[in-house]
This record gives sequence, structure tokens and C-alpha cells, in this order.
Amino acid sequence: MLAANWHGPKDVRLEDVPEPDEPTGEDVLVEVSWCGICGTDLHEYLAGPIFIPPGVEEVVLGHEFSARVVATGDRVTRVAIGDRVVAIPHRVCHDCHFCRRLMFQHCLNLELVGLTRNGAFARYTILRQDQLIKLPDEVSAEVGALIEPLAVTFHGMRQPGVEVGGDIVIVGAGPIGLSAIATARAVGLDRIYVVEMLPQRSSIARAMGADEVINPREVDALEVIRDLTGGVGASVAMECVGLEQTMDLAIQATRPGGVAMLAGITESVSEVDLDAAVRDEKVIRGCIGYFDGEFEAVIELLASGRLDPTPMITHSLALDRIVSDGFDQLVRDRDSCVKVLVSP
Amino acid sequence: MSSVEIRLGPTGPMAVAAELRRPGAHEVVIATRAAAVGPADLTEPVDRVIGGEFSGDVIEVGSDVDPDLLHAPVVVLGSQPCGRCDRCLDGLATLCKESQTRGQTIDGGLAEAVLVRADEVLPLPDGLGHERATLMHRLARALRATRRSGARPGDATAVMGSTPLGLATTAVVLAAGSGKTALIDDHQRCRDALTEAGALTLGAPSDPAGWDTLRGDLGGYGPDVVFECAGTPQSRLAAIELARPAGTVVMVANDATPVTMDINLLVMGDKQVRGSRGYTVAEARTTLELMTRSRIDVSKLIGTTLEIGEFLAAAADGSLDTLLGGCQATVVRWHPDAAVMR
Repeated sequence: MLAANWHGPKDVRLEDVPEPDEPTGEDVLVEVSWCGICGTDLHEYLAGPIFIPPGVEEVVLGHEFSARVVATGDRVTRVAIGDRVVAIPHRVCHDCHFCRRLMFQHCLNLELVGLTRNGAFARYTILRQDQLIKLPDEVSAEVGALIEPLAVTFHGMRQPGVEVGGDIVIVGAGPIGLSAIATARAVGLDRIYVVEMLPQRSSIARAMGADEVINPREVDALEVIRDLTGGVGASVAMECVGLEQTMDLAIQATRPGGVAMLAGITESVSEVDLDAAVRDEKVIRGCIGYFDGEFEAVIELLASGRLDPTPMITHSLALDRIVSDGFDQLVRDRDSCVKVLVSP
Repeated sequence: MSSVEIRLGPTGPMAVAAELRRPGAHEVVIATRAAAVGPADLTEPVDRVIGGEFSGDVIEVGSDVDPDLLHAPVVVLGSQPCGRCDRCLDGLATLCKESQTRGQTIDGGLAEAVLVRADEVLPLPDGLGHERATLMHRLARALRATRRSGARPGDATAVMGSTPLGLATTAVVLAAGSGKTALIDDHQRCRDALTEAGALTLGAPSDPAGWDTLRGDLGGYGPDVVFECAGTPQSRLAAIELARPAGTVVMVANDATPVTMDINLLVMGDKQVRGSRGYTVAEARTTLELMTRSRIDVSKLIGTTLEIGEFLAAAADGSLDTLLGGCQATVVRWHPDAAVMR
């Protein structure tokens, strides 16, 4: 079968790879419906390995996906052939220090589909039954491929300090930033301010619920945010870019006693004003992954219509175009190319 | 009334005669009985009364002050928020931008008598003496930091830096039912001070393997909560590295120097940094109660006790730096009959 196989930075090859073996035990063979190109995939494409373990020579990328069950192992009880499903990329041991405390994303034996084991930029892939959640009829397969990034920002919105009626500054309107807009709206944040310099992304941000989009090329973004928030800053900020300047902006745009969440992955060291945490009792926290139950909660919000991420889908394409019209297009045209869905 | 104040002069602390005005309607005069002093009292600005942490007896009250306060033993709060700014009105008084700090931006209390606002004082509970009461400030800061940390009983914790604040934080964390608790610093004398109190006391590892061992010793994969009390970029970075995945670092000490770091330590580690600054009046009251009932073990927090005459003699002969250099408090007692130069 055709697969997008990572071999190193700037080296993702469309290759013919063997189809997975028939599943055994709790494993399930799924046929991928749609798989999104994640910022993490792009980081691996441009500068990896980051999440891919050192020494791995090749791996099929793809971890944001919806699928249909085509075969099951003899101990599978949670899904059946024909079920439409979404996949949780974490394959955990359920036995280590962190799994016993239900902190699955920190599992000491964590495997990540599409990063440490073969993923979904291929027609078929294998998952264990505890990684699969059935999709209700109300959620399309395309939207199902967006549940993973939505779960990341939903996880952020569940942190202490994020409260109904509060305000939020979202720095960057890429896929995670746009997911943050959608989830912030869904959990009852009132005013949503977005910092984005690219015009198409700004338009999508507005379409997804941003109250104000601030272009830092045209104005002093921090000054504007302070004007919009009575001089104090927002109760929450979420940084979704991964640059020193944008992290600094997110921390500064957070009001005293507020929460600055850093979701962007960086590729270099940064100078960080950690004293802001002491000076103004801010919380500066990393935001990554999701906890048990958060995929299900996002599905519920999608099914009920309270969460609509569809404006962020800008490109849908076949697998054989993933490098030229997917990865390279995301690099060439960061403005109009936001979320690329791939169908194998 | 006449008084004597210990002011920081160009060559160190010195006794200076002063004239104290009568208290205004909302003010009280306190005869200082004890003050905790430390290295910060020997640094600029000069010409301020030193001793920001002090306790004494009320000897005169203003016309609108509750007369029951007269003769009461009291401790004086360490900072004065303005009470009028947006932050104060929003309930964030510890973050008041106009806040004044006793012994630093405004006069401290190492003096024969001190004039303060009545709302700056808290009566001491029965059984809490003046010397121990001087520790209220650092313990109240530690209490706030512990509460803000989200640490739960049984959590593995580490305190970076055996500063006075680090020792106080360790004492409060132990009182809060922490599991394995470590004070990490290279000062053996300071570490010794807490060994008997139930904390592990460990030197800062000099190589990465040492940190891995330390993580293993604390909770298996690093402490649930790390309190950063040294206030240096190196210590802050080490605290973030030491905390377990999804762990919390509480920064208690100030340091304006930016930290150069791989921010993925926070992002991919799912860790959080929480700041803690000052304390509220309610936290001060709680601290006094906990101290009075010995819920917090403060026995190791005072290293040296000096009479005011001994303190001034040490200032004169140049031995004060040594006396104040430790992580434990040096408490200066001021007896009502003390004969101090006028």
C-alpha cells in the first residue's frame, strides 16, 4: 500500500509498504478515512526528529485521523467491523507509574501512532481497541480527523483559571490557534482576541468566532490588548506559534493572576521572563496532549453543534499529493493553507 | 516622644536618636521587642530603619483605634498595599504596584519605638512570644506558596535553595503533609538545620546523572512540586528540569533576570510555573495560629538570638556579616530596659 514514510528532515517519501498483518488480541485494523497534517508532522518534516525517537530510520507519519474498522483481533469487544471511529494516538502500557495515576500521555512506555510507530498516512493502520472511539452519525469523517487538535486545546481550556465569562488572547491562527478559538467559544469564554498577521488566517479566525484579530505588523499588539482589556490584560493567553517573541507576548498579555498557556513547540532555546510569574502571580504552563475522556467530550460538543471547526479545513487531497501539495504547500503558503486533510 | 532607631549607615547599622510624633487617629506606637534581621538589611538603600520583620507591644493608640489594642503584643505586617488601585480593589492586594515593604522601601522596626497604621498590626495569639512571631512574614509567604502550589498530602516535594524563605517553605510543606520532602542546596549548615525536622537534605548535583538519581529518590520520576526559593536563573531552570512530567514549579523568590531555556521543557513536559508573592492578612492570621499551636515546626528556623547591645557591638566590630549570613533567622531582642546610645 502507498504510505508517506518519514526518513529524515525534508525527506518524506511516498513508498509502497506492506499492509499490516491481520490483527490479533486487542488490536484492530482500520482503513483510514481522513488524516490531517499536524504542526507536529510539519516540525518532523522540516527539522525532525523531535517526537520521533533518535535512531528511528523510518516511520509512516499521520496521527490526526478518522477511520473505519475492517478487522479485529480475537479479544476485541469495544468496536466491530464497519464502525466509524476516531483514533487516540497514545498507545500506553496501563502499568507504569503515570498510567496507574491515569496520566496516560506521560506513560513511560508511550508509543505514538504516526511518530514512534506507523501511522495513518496510509490506507491501513493498526491500533489497540482502547485507542478507538466510535464516531456518532452527526460527526463527519472529515471533522473526525480534527478531533485530535481540538482535544489539545480543549485540554487547555479545562485548566484552572480558564473560566466561563473570561477573556482570552490567542497568539497565532494556525490549526492549533483556530482550534483554540473554537474550543474557547464552546466552553463559554466571552471575549476572544487573536494575534495573527496573515490575512486569510485572520479571516478564518473571525469566521470561527474571534471578536478581534490584531495584526502585529500594523499595531503594537500588546498595547491594543491592554486597551481592549481595561489596561490589565486577558485572564488567559494561549501561545500557538512557538517563537520567543510570541511566547513573550502571551506572557505579557496575561493579566496579573492569569494563566499563560504555551502550546507552540519551539525549535531553539528562548529567553523567557519567568519573573512575570512571581511579579504578577501568573501561571505559565505548557499545554500539550489530552487526558482520558477529553476526546469523548470534544465529540459530544461536535455532535451537539456547539463546536464547529470546519472553516479551518482549507485543503483536501489524495495521499499521492501529500508532499508537494501538503507539506511543501504548508511551507510555501502559510496564509491560505491551514489544515490539510489527506485521504489515502 | 524620643526613640532610638537602628538605621543602615554608610558603614553598617548604627543607632540614631529620633523624635517620634504622637500617633494620628488611626495609628499606634509600638515598642519593638524583637526583629529578625538578615543580609538584606545590610544592603542599600541606606538611611532606613532596618528590620522589616518585627514584633512588639502597643504603647500608645490614636483616638479612633480600639483601646483594647493598648498594651497588646502585636506583629506588624511586612507590606502595605495602597488599598485603592485596581489590583487592590480586584482582591489582588499582594500584587499592588504601589505596595511598600517594611525595612526596604519604608522604615523597618528595629527601633525603640515605631509609629505604624493600626491596620498594619495583628495581635499575637496567647502563647506566641515576640521572638517566634518575627518569623510570621516568611512563614506566611511560604503558606501562600504552598497553597498556590496545589500540592496534596503525600506529594513528593523539593525546595530549591536553603535561603530563609527556603527553610520556611520546607517547614510549611512538611506541616502540609507532604510525602518525601527534600531541601536542595550546597550549604551543609543550612541542610543540617532541617534534617531533624523530617526533610531529606541534599546537595545540588554537579552532573546530569546526579539529577536523574535525585528524580528517582523523589517520587520516582521527579517531585510533584518544586518550590524555587533561591531566585537565580540557574536554580529556576534546575527546578523546571527536576519536576516530574505534568509537575508544578512554584517560584517564590524574585529575580528579574530572564531565563534562557528550551521552552519545550514546559510544553512537552506539560509542566507549569506558578508565581507566589507576599501574603494576605488572612494568611498572616492563619500562620500565627499554626505557629501558636506548633502545627509548623519553627524550632530550626532561628539560628542566633542577640540582645540589641550585642547586635550593635557586632556591627561596630565588623562581625555582623558572619552572624547574619546563614539561612536561619538572626533575631534581635530589644528589652524595655536596654541601654542603647541616645
